[in-house]
Amino acid sequence: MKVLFLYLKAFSFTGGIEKFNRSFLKAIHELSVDGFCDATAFSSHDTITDEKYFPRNRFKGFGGDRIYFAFSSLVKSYKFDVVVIGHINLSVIGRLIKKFRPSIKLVVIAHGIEVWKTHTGHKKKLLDSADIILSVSQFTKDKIIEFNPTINPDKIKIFPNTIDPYFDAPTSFKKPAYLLERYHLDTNAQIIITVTRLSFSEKYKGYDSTIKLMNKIVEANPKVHYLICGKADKNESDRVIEMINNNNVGNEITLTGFIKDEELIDHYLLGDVFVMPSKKEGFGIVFIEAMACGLKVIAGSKDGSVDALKNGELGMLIDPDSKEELEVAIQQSLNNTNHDPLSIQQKVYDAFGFHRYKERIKIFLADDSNQ
Amino acid sequence: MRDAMKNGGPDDCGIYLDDELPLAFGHRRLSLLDLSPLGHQPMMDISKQIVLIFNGEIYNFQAIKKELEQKNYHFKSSSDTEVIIYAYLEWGKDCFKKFNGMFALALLDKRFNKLILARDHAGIKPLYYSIQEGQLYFASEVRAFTKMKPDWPENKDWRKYFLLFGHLPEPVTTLQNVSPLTKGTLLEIDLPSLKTTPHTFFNLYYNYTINDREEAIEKVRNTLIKSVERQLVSDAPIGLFLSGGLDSSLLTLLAKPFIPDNLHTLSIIFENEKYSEKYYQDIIINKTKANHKSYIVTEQDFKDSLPDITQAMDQPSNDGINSYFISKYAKEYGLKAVLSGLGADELFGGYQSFNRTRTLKALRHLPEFMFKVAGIFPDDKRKKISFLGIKNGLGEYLFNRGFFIPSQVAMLLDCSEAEVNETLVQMQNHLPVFIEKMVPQEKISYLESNLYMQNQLLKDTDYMSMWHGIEVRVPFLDKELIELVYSINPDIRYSKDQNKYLLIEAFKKELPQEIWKRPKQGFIFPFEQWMKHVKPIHGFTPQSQHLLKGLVNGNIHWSRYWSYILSQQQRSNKDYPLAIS
Repeated sequence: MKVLFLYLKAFSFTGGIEKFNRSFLKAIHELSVDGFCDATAFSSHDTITDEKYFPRNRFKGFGGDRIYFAFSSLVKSYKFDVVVIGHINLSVIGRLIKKFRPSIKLVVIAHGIEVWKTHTGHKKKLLDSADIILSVSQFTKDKIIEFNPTINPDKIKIFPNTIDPYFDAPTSFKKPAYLLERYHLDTNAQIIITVTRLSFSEKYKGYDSTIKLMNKIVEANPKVHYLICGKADKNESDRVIEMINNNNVGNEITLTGFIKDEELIDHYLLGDVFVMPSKKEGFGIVFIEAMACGLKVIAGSKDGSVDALKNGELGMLIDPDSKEELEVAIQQSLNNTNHDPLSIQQKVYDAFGFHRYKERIKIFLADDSNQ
Repeated sequence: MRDAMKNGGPDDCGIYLDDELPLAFGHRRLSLLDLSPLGHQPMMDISKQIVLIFNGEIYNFQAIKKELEQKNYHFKSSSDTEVIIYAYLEWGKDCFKKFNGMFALALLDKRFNKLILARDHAGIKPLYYSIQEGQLYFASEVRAFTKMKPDWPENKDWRKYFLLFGHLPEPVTTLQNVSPLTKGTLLEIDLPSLKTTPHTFFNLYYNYTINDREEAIEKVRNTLIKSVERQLVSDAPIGLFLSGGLDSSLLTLLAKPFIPDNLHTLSIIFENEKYSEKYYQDIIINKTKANHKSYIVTEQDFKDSLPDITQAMDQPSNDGINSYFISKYAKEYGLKAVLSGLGADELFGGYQSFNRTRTLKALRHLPEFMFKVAGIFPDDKRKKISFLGIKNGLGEYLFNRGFFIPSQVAMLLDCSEAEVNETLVQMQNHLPVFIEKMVPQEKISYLESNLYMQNQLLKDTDYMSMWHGIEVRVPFLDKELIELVYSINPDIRYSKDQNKYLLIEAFKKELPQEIWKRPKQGFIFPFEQWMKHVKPIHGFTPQSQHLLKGLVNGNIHWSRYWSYILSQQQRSNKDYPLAIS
């Protein structure tokens, strides 16, 4: 079975969708080696592939030349049995491929907010003509159906995200001394952590609520510190700092700024509880990464986070608009001394490990029920 | 069946019978670890629910044992066999992912009425099985099947494969419905239904995580040293084959610090200087102060041994005579295990085929009719261009390593060319499609490892060494080393200017220049001369006469004549068709 994966970026940027794409590339490559399929990938924006994930001889990067990318994809699609469209923004190409070759199996990946709306034009037609829509969460699936009632719900398959196969899950859960020192943290400190990009235009990650609660939390647990990890744009950084100062919690909160890939796991290990009562996660890969590092997790109950936490089986889900619920959850987590990091790590790998992800790809590639 | 393999297991034997299932295990032991009766097989766990027979070595068994002891498992023996049993009890089928070694094993799990057959990551140890008509047979050698049933039907196509490849490519054997277990896999067999489920526990995915030359060199160095150290663990005398080539010289140099006073090496030399590698061997012997013994092989030895050589061949192979002699002399030396440099050429790009990728690319562009008519060239080299008519890796492999082209095979076996081509089509289905888009050197490495090394070198080495009760260990095929080497970007793994560039760079400090700068020479015997005197016992056929004439005139390589003679054997009986004039 010849598979063509068309996507935007995997290696020229790092975000949730890019992480998804990398894992997807590695999985279809491994399935090719296993003899299950024969995969090729075209990227509209990457220029080169990282051969950790996907080999160069099966890859073509168009470095932003969207016309050439579209043309090549269309021409080459004739050689393939399955075309996977990695993002709804590639709807025009997907549509054309299906129009010229209706027998091809067209798969569209739906990540999150980009599909939580009523679509018109090419995007609508793409979703209508797709044989399979892979939705990263039940929540995203429900949203697609809610906004686009013409789509046959049976063809929307739940296809959760995974932990990157190179994510080197820790075997010891000790807090890294060098980071405690870097952030001037006490070895006995209890640390709340959030890992996210801080963007002025996206105000849904929920760290505002935690910042505003810090006074109360510290009152009950004086040794608590809140670490917000991730690159912030200038406006957001100014806004967050101002909020911290207004709440007078400057000593209780640290903004780390950008985290290098090689230090990411150590930052997770620094935390006791990962808190991100977000409202617009398609899935929330950071939750499963945090759990892979053995952390307790608190997430919002009104988006794809519900799937990442397996409906609360793996962590606590709270109403992201309720400060009270958030406060109770954080206090409970901090006071919970029975937490077993190894067990949560095991559970998250059982549910979302790369081997499961690969198995799921095999299932949908073999699935021809909607054709 | 068990005693058909007596040569490979002279030290002990055992049997296990389960009338309820019904099932029987037979085992012959060559003891290297825990020489006491505590290592006796079949071995059971304390509750007698797990029964194991095991051939090979688990080199990291000490580390696994320690892990299990921390989990409150108690061990009676110091053998690796017992570790396998408890590792299975603790981790189930996942235990095979932990083993670094060479093994073929059968494990009965009475709790679930399940039998597991498993073979190591690189297919170093052989394991054959047959399931048909509600019966299952398995053994380390194919000869065991015909011992069981002397009239076991032959695979009607084996001669075609043999004459095309010079060996029998997996999954082909000389017998019908007898197949090797794929390397790195285990077969879960439900009893008594014999329903099978295969599981892969080792696979290479060609994901390049190492892109830095210095990092690659450093890691190759450390990992190979560790591998040599691991593989020198033995409770019985151990030594090294020293050919004088780069690989065996390097292993000898690396073994020295671990067994400084006990370093035994051996080599084969010939009367004729032309074939002698003594000069190179002496460099290493002087450097390491090894206890070295050279054994002279004469044409008379060859003649005298030929009947035994053909008996020793579990499956026909055009190679293996060298392995026969070196194993024989290792035994005479008093060794029980020897390290061999096998695998380095495939892993690090040591063969000429690695340098031919450009020529190959150019030849591929020849007009189509050329592939059809190339068979008319008188010489073998150009004849083999016709293999490039097969537009994939198989065609490339046969161009480099093939024996007879299909029209010759048809002539030799008195069948149609279409029948021969059909076997090639069958074989193509066993080669994964993904190799077609690999980087050229990587593709060659794949083909050399999975066809040439797997089906020829490893097989010959195993049955010839077992015939003499010697265990051959192959540090270059250590699991950690293989995983490492296949994670190195091909751009730095191979060099156009220097074969085995990375290996040489990693050990430039130790390796004398004369060794790594010398032109590549395989393990060469003066066969060209000797083979001219080999005659089929049942007399000449027109084909063998024709080939012998070619050999005498210098038109064909000795191995072509030899492979044709071997192809005329009836594999299902003990008769060997060779006599010497």
